Amino acid sequence: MISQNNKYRLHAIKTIMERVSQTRFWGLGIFVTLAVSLAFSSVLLVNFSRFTETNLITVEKQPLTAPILLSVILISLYLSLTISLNVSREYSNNTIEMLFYGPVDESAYMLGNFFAQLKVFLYSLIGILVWLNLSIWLLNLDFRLDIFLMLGVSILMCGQWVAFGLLVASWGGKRRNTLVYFMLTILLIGGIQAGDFIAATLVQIQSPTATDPLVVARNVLSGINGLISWISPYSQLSSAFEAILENSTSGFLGNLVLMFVEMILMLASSILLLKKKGVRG
Amino acid sequence: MIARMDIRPAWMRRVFLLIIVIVIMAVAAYSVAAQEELTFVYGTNHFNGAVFSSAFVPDSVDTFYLISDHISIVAGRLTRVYYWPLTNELKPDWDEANIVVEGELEILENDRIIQTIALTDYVIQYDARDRFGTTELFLGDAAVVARQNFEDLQKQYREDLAAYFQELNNYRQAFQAALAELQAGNITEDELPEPPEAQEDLSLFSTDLLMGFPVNLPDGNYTVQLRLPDGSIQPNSRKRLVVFSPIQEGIGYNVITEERWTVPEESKEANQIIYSLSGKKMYLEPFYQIQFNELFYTRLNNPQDTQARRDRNVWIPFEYVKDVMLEVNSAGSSKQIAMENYFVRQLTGSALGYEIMIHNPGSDRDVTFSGFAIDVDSPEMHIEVVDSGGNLLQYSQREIRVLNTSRSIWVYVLSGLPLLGGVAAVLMRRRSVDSGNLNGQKG
Repeated sequence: MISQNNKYRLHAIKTIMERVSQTRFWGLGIFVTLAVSLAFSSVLLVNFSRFTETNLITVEKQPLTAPILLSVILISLYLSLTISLNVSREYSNNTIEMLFYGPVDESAYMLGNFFAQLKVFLYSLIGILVWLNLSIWLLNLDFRLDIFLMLGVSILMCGQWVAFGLLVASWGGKRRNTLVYFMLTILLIGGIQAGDFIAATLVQIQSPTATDPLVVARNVLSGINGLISWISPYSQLSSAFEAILENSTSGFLGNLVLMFVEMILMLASSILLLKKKGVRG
Repeated sequence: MIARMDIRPAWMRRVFLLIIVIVIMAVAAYSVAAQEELTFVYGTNHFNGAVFSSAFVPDSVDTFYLISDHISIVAGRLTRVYYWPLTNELKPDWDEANIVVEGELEILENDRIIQTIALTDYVIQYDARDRFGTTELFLGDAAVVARQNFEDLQKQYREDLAAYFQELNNYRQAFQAALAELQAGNITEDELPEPPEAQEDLSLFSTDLLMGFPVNLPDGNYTVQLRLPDGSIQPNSRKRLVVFSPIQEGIGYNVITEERWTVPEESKEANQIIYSLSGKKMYLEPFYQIQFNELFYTRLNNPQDTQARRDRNVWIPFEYVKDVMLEVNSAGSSKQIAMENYFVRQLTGSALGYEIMIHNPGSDRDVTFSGFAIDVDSPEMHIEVVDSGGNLLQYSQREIRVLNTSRSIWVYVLSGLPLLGGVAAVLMRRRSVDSGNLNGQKG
């Protein structure tokens, strides 16, 4: 039996979820983001098509992997940033304090916002799925069930990003702080991952044991990236995609568990932080 | 001069002698030091899944790898090891020193000795015309016999070759004489002498009679150490040994088109799709391949490798598949394509290009490759290799699809569709605000 308190809390979560998700759907932002992410994904897909045209033959497991990865990441980033700014705005305007006089508490508030963004993401996935199927039909690609698995696992990745956005908002408090924290974290993690990729590409190793002046830089970046890949939703999602393509059940489940645990930890931390800091920041 | 030497003081002679003694001692000490510079290393002649390869295990490497349930040779050697900066590797100078360290190789599992292997003679031989089908490892007395047999064949080959050249020489002389007779009209062309039959090359390859420890273990993690005849353990001989087995076997394909003959694509996994263009002709050259863990297999062949990853697998191609058929299923129809031999000719003239044509058995040109020709005339085709008994070869299934590249521009158009949804949402919102029905409730 659900206690009366929990019943109120569930109601509060549902109300906040409906309110926030409707705000997203009423605005142009999510539609523009979806269109932009699909446009970028189209570039990748058309690039694959052009390559086959010039190369005459392409051997590929799933040419839709990169487009799916790119579109779900862009949408998740958008949802993470908007929820972060949304919460911090309520801090800045002190409207969050008014909310908490009613039946809303910290967990209801955070969970309501969290599920609202997930709901928006689920609707976006439908848009992506439509685009994927039409592209498959247009280009005569192979329709495989693995794209459902990829889209499914991306829900967890979005959950991580949204939980991260909530954590940054409850950590930063005011809007400007939140934006700075959010951007700095993204730039730091993204920069290291990009740096590692560039260094790994620049170091042209003829032999697997060869030396190069950039090897030290590459090894340092690779070491840091190795640590980051345990927490980066992007790394976890691409590992999960790789596991799907390699039919590696253990690799897939391992990434799934990692993503879920990280999402829960960030969500719980954001609630605890909000409780600790209070509604006045 | 003599007088001058005689007047050299005695202390100078002593110093001179002392210098000579010091120089002699330094040279002797250097020789001993040079001898001491020799390092104990392991060398392997290991089974790599199809044939034998060799690897060098320097002192700095604490683990080496072997394939399970096949005999591989591990040998303890003293040699000079040097650093090669270009590849950042330690390398052995076998020419300077290659001293077999006698003793017994002990295999330990959980610090308990499970096997003791004696030093054994061995020889690896194969026929160069069919290396994969004929590679054989001989051990002990069989190795001595095999090596002797090879040397006999070599000797016989040299004698036959000398006899052939002698016959060829005689033929040339006879031919010149016959040619003069022909020009004089004394004989006809039919009476010209026939050349001697060419000597067939000795295609058998053999290693020298070598010494090593034949290791044959099931999957597992072990420790090896070399026990010397005096009962002690050879310093630096204790290493970890990882024995692993292949993950699976399958069929891979080289996917070839005329235009890209020199750079074929490879399809190694059954879930890979081969995308091509409508109306193209492609050639598939099937080969046997074995899948291994990337780290294990790479370090099997190069224990100093630092790049391979434990969480990845790798397909290793071995031998081309012969005497099989390709079954092609498309749009409800099924057909079998026979394997053909092909000859690839580079186009003459200034334009670049190649022409792939069926090899004429009577031609003196060699076969360039054997495979299946497929006309890409259906949007979707499924292929698989079957043997002469009609049995499907494992992991030989592939899908071939024709990519509609002309429609790719429409993919961009599709990506704009969400904007229509956005505009619709904004219009709906305005209508709701105007009618006071925001959030679906009457105001």
